[in-house]
Amino acid sequence: MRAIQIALKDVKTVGRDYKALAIILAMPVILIVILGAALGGMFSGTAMNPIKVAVADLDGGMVSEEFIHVLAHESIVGLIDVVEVRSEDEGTDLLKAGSVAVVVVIPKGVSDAGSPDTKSIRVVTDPGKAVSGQIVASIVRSFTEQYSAVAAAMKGLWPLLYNPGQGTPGDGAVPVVAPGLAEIVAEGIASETVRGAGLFSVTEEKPTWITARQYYTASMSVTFVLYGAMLGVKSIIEERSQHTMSRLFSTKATPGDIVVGKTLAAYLISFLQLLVLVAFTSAVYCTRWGDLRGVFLVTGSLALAATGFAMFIAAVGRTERMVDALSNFGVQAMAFLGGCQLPIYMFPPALNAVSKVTLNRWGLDGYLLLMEGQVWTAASKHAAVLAGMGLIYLILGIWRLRLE
Amino acid sequence: MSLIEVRGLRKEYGKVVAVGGVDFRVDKGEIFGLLGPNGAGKSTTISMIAGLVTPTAGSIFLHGKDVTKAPHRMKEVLGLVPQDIALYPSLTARENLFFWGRMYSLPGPLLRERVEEALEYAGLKDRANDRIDTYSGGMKRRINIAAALLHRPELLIMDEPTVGIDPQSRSHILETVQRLNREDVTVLYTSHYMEEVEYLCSRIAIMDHGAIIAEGTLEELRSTVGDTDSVELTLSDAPGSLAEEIAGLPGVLQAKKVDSTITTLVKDGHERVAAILETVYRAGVKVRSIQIVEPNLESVFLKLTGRALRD
Repeated sequence: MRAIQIALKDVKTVGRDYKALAIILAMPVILIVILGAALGGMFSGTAMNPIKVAVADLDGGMVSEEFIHVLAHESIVGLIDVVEVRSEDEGTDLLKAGSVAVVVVIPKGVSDAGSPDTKSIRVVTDPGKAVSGQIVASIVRSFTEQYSAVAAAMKGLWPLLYNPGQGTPGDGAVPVVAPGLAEIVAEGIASETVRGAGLFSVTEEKPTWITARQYYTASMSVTFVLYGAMLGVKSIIEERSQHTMSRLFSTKATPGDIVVGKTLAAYLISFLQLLVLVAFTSAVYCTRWGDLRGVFLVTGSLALAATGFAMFIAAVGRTERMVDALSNFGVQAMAFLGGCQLPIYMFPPALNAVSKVTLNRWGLDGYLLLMEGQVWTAASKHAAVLAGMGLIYLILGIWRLRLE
Repeated sequence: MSLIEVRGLRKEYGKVVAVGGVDFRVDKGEIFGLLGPNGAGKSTTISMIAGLVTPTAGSIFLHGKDVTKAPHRMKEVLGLVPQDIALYPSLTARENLFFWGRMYSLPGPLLRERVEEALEYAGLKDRANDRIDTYSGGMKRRINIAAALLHRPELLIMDEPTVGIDPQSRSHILETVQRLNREDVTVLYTSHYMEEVEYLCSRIAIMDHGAIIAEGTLEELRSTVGDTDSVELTLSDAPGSLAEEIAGLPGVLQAKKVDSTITTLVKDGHERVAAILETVYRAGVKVRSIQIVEPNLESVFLKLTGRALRD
């Protein structure tokens, strides 16, 4: 009971601190608009604005045929708008004129090599549309890897099979691809490569895009909830400096009451902060957050993770100055690594893997899945990881915490 | 009958001895004063009694029972008024009092009643809904005290409750302490203002450098100085040798110079003052003011330590 009173008092105190409210509520709301507008060009666009790709097919063989088939597949249509050109120069001219964002060049002889390597198909990008180029490069890479894998498998299996349309076993005529490869590759690209970019996804019915503003709505919410939780936990240090901690100890409040109260306060502040941001961005920015059950699930877990992180920082930092320094560094580092400043797909693979140790990555991915239109259960893994991380941080923080 | 008693209470911080083994008792119903200069160890002593600091050695008894290792039992009877303002600045006075009352587990209707009572004690009912950060220092001090009274403690420990406040608030606080004592609250009052301790306390312990150097009633302590008076001279400029010259006069027991003031302990001050003034005039120093003070705690402290309380 005393713990609840301590928590409610802290929530009330933060609620009256206008500077604190500006940091945890106004700043993310403003940054969502600024980043959404400033970095919108890095994103592919919206559903009405697919990436225009000029394809120069100099090969004219099976590889280029399959590649164009992949780009035209219904899973990708709406994402890529293909313009076929006769030469690289023609494609470059279109690029310079701004008619296309990317030129894909399939050099002559790629099909003759049996299967393309990852560098054989070239991607030329408008420097001002680097992200579009990265998405297309990602599709090309995914295509060549999957094509090569299937071709290798077919080559191994061919002696055991007989296909009258392609030849007979043992006569040396080995088919490079199997029927339906384009579907397999296109769906693979749609579900893995494109979703991995964290920008948009493809549901069973039609492609669902995530706009830059949506992306930054999720990412700024995830970033600033850490500041919200810090406010709750920093009250431990403030209570020391304003001498109320000693007074608390002279009452019937136990150290357990105080720790539980402070933890609860940080949780309530961060949870309420996220709910306000979700409500505000839904109402004012018309952000589509997706399945509300999932949003509550991820929000609850994210608030727990942020609380644990904040408690850990407060325990390690001890003094106000130290806690400020550690929290600023920690929040910024996690925001960057977790894809809250620049989209994850821009990261090299190693950094992409590292980002999975951050709360931000799991929170962001969880929200993006829901924004893509997935049902709440799709985000349950993210919620579980966040809750687990939060509990670990919390246990470590409480273990290291010195109230006096 | 003693409400609390401490025996051999000691606190060390590394090699620093903050309190070097003190013994005293506070009887039920009295106002006990702990007087000493800043840094004497008063706050550390009461922090140990309140269970905020663990003693290095010694024992604390409550109603005759050792509670050194069970500080929660002390908390049940204790109200602590800390030296610093320990309130939440962004909450109103009423919100602060409600919060602290809840920390003492006061139930709803009783809490409301006690909060109103405490506001009345503080004389701030009309400002109850204002935030603490809009209060003057004296008003904050009054709420700081009121917050310790909500659960009607048997023992009220007040640590320098009048530091840095206006005369009106000081007077209000001293009256409150007397009123509480009349209502059977035992008070342990620490201060470095000897006038307050003289005014309020029935028994007094004088602390210096972590030790109790004298203890007793005001009369008992005064008698240790005998019939000596304290003569305080405020001078325009006092050369260092002047205090030594005055100390050599017949009947002068001690002379100490602090800034431009020379404080002397003199037998029969009224008779000796002429000789002291003559010495000052001979030295070519102008006298701005002169005050003859009959034996008080200041002279007791001066006699015992060779220093003034404000040193």
